Amino acid sequence: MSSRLPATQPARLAAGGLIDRSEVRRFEFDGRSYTGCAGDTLASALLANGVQLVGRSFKYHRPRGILTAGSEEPNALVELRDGARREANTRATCIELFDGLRANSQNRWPSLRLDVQALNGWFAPLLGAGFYYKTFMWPAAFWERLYEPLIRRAAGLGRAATQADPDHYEKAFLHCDLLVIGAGPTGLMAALTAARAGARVVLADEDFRCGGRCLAERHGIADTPAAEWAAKVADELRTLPDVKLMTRTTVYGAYDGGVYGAVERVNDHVAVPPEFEPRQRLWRIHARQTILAAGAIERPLVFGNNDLPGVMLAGAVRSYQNRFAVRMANRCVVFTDNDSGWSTAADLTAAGVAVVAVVDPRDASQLETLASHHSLPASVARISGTVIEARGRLGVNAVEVRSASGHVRRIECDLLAVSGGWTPTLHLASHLGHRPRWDERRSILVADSLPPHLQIAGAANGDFTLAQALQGGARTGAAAAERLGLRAHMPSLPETTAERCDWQPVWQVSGSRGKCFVDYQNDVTTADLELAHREGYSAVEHLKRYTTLGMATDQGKTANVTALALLAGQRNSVPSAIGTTTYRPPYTPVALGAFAGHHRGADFRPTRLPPSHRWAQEQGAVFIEAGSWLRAQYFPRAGESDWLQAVTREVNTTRSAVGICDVSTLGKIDLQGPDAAALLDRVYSNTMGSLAIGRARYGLMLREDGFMMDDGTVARLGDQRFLITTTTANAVAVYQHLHYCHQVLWPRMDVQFVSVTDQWAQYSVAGPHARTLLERVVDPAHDLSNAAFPYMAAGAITLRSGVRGRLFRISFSGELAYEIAVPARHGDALIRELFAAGAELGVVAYGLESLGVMRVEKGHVAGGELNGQTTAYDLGLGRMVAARKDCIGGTLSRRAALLDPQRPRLVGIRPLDRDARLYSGAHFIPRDAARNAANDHGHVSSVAYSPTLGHWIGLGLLRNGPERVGEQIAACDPLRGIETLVEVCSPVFVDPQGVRLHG
Amino acid sequence: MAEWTLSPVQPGRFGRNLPDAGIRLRECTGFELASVLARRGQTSAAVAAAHAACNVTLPLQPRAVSGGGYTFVGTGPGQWLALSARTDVDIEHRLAAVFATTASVCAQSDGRIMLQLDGPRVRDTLAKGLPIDLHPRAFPPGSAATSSTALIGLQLWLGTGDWPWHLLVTRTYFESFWRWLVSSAAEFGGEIQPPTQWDGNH
Repeated sequence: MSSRLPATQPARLAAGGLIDRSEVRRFEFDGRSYTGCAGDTLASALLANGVQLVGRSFKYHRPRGILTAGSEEPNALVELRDGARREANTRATCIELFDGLRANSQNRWPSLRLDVQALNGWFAPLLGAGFYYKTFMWPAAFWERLYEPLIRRAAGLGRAATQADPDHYEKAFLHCDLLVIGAGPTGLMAALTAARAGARVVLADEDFRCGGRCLAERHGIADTPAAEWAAKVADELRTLPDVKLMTRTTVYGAYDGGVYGAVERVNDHVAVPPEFEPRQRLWRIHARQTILAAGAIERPLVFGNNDLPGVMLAGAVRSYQNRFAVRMANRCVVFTDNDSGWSTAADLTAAGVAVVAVVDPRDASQLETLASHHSLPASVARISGTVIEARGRLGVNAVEVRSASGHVRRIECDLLAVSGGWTPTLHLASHLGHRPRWDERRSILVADSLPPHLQIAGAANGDFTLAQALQGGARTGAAAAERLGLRAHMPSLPETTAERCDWQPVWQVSGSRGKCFVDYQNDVTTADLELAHREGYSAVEHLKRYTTLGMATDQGKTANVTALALLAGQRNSVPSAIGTTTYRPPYTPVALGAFAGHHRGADFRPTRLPPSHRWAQEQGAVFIEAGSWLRAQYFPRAGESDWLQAVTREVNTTRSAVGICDVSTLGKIDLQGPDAAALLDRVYSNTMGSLAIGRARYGLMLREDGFMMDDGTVARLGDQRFLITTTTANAVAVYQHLHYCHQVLWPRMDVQFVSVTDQWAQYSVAGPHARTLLERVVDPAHDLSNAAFPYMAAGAITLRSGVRGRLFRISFSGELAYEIAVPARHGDALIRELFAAGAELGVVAYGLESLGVMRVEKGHVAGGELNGQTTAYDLGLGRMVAARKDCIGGTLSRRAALLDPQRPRLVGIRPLDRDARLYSGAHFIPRDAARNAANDHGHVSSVAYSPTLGHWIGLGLLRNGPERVGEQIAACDPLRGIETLVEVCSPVFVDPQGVRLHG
Repeated sequence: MAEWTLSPVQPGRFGRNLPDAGIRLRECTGFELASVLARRGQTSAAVAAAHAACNVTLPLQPRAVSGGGYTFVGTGPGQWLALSARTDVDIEHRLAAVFATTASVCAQSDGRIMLQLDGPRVRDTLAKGLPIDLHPRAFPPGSAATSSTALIGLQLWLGTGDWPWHLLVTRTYFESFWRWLVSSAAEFGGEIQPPTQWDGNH
């Protein structure tokens, strides 16, 4: 198809406009090749090629054309690009044309011109508001198998890409004195005034060119075309060092504290972003002052078949003709209730388009005044009346006009320009919950109460003429500068073309024939609104949900105000009594990729690497994510077919010789000061003040409610200095807890503490040969014998290499074990030195799996048991809650219910059939009881295959657990469909007397 | 013992190939670092102690000052990071002698990796992650901040002269930080220079 010669823009005007005719852009729409120019949007290029039909509507699959020239577009949604970059529901009116652009229409089969599902239109009486709710109510059994798939197939527009997005996105922060939203005449004037006063200004506009309506109108400012004036102001702003002018940037949300969200489409206007550049950048803008100069959105009129391609907003017609140099029609009819339509008639006439008639409901004498103001020739008929129907199959070919006298006649035309007035764009002023107020006199919504530091100016403030815009921009820009403490001068305002701005709203054309659409994107008609009202959904928020009016990508930008007025009419009320729906960010859709920014794939969250990471990589370790850490899970060797073989070897070698594990991930906090011991006595349940210098102790921390919070060790390094460790998982939580205790509970305590987790590389050296190995690494001046450095000793050491470190005789494995710590920069060297020194002792590296196996064999509790629902008493550690001193959680841990022996308490389990495997999460049910929740006596919290015992073992929390040692009980795992008979036993499976530990 | 450094990161250009790199990066080694936390009610006494020993006025704001062979960076009320070149006596002992009972001192030399940055696009690069205002009006030379980027905590301060930007990044998070930094700097054209030794000035 693409081999056809490109069409040659038959509807392109020979001169004028802000396009570059020398820069030809080739593109494809629905497989057909066209050309456009630099400066075009996809919409303008399609129109220049005479393409009017661009899509099918959501529900009825009605043919649709381009309605607007901006981001409010409800109809012209296309799939842009293909493959991994395919992007559904992209507004053709916002797509900057680039060479090689490919787009496809949506929601049609087999083709745009012939769409089978358009039959939906015939069943329209059945598809009214609430159709889904009413139809798919029952039988309930049909929902999952029939209704949901059916609805899902019919719902949605376009197809998302199925491959990963190949582009990258960024997030960035921006700070300014003044944020100006919208670079139309108002915004340019505001930014210029404040910037000249010395303010740091950010000026953002969603368009790729500054100027707003200056680009679309034939106005003059100070004797130059308005577009030239805008370009000149933009140029001056670009020369000022503290101004950031951001085009292609949509400010999509307002947040507390002067924070605004914006998305910059850095490279949406090229086929593929240049290397190293992001596709889009999400900005978080902190502004001390903000001026909202977002302009206004024109409203369509509501009459029969008002959605037919060729029915276009009058302001958009001017945009396409004046900015994009498109010859919009051969014969045009204008239907308007305000000056916008008359301007369009004048502009079209000036471009040589035959304007057959202007239809305006106002009385004939007013129309004469309007015609003469807009210098319309007599050939343009002025009809006081309304358009009651647009006619045509895939596009307008005539309109039915009823005059004030009731006479109906048909007028042939290929374009109907419509205008129902303008709606100020107040979204960003309303995101923080400030509801706009209905101004009855002007029939617009106005922002009455505003968030702090926000001003509104120009059309967004209901000041619709160019002179008002310039004046409002200068005034608010100067006011913002003054508020910032700067001296601002009101600039002299340039002369502008005289304008009229007058209207008499027509919310709905009575006597219309055919469907009258209010919300084009969701196919909501006046009949739907009437039905919803009859059925009681007449509160504005209910109406939105029931009819879907105002939903989806355009959020009803062209529909909401009209709907509000129609709803008021149905309720015999006024819009001011109806209220509005809630405005929420984003103003226009923002790609999720922009919100993710750098944080995708491996960078989703930062990864912490322990000091031995490089060495472990060289050893071929298998890694596992443990919180933010990447830890060695096990170290497979050649010939081992699975993890279990590696783990079995690691455990057996550690228990029979010596093993080394990186334990640097444990949280480490250094505490100093006269009250350090007193603080520790309050945060640990057991006594720490009595700890001797050079000794370590196991400690429990409780939450305020008496439950277990964390466990770890406390080592006393000096009279007023301690080093505590936390579990890896709770390192941050414990550090925060200590700060809370110190800053909030006991601010008078003289204690200072700081995290030193990153400062130290720490390795556990465990097993019968641990001492021998360490003696080869540690300076021989240190006596490591059991007598000189017994179990739970702690102290400073020097290594043979001269590096100063620390040694702790602490064991998690149950073996003779030490933890040796050196400043982290030496961590990589130390692990290599330890393995060199231990080679002939048969030293083995062990990972997180083996660590877990050995702690289960010893009955040490970890994550499975410290689950936030257990107490020290439950875990057999009740005696560690000292009765003679107070501590956080101490009193509440002694509540009667928490000392009830029936609580699930820690036990060991082993399968009766020693070959059986155990599973964590299985529930304990008495052997002969029914397998149901009423007989649930607890659960299996941790399991491991014990290489030492040669079978699976587990820990569990069992009602009356310790009293049931010896009982046979079922471990039922309904999720896996497995049931295992186990024997309840002591949780300590290996070396219950601790002989090895003290060896 | 061999020290862990940025050795896998080869000096040279990265990102967009522009005539001049928009941002230059290098690791700074050979420094010692300690947290200095004033004891309760002893902030003034700690300031006086530092003044007497080092002839430097400890900042009570997020600022960096140098004197007596140390650079002190204010990190919170009564809290500083102290840097010095590496000597035979470790910084914890030296500063314990300076502050005696006015402050607690804890070595952090290995908890952070220091980077120095220079070039016209440093601010634009850092803005892709640091939420603070780095505009010269808001962050003039001598300013310091404790902040974060890409969910990774860091301290930074701005000195004068060449290589004015100093970043201290948590060691175990460094590789993730580096990925963020390099990808953020790439569009401006980056250059990695060989590591340098801390020379005692900021």
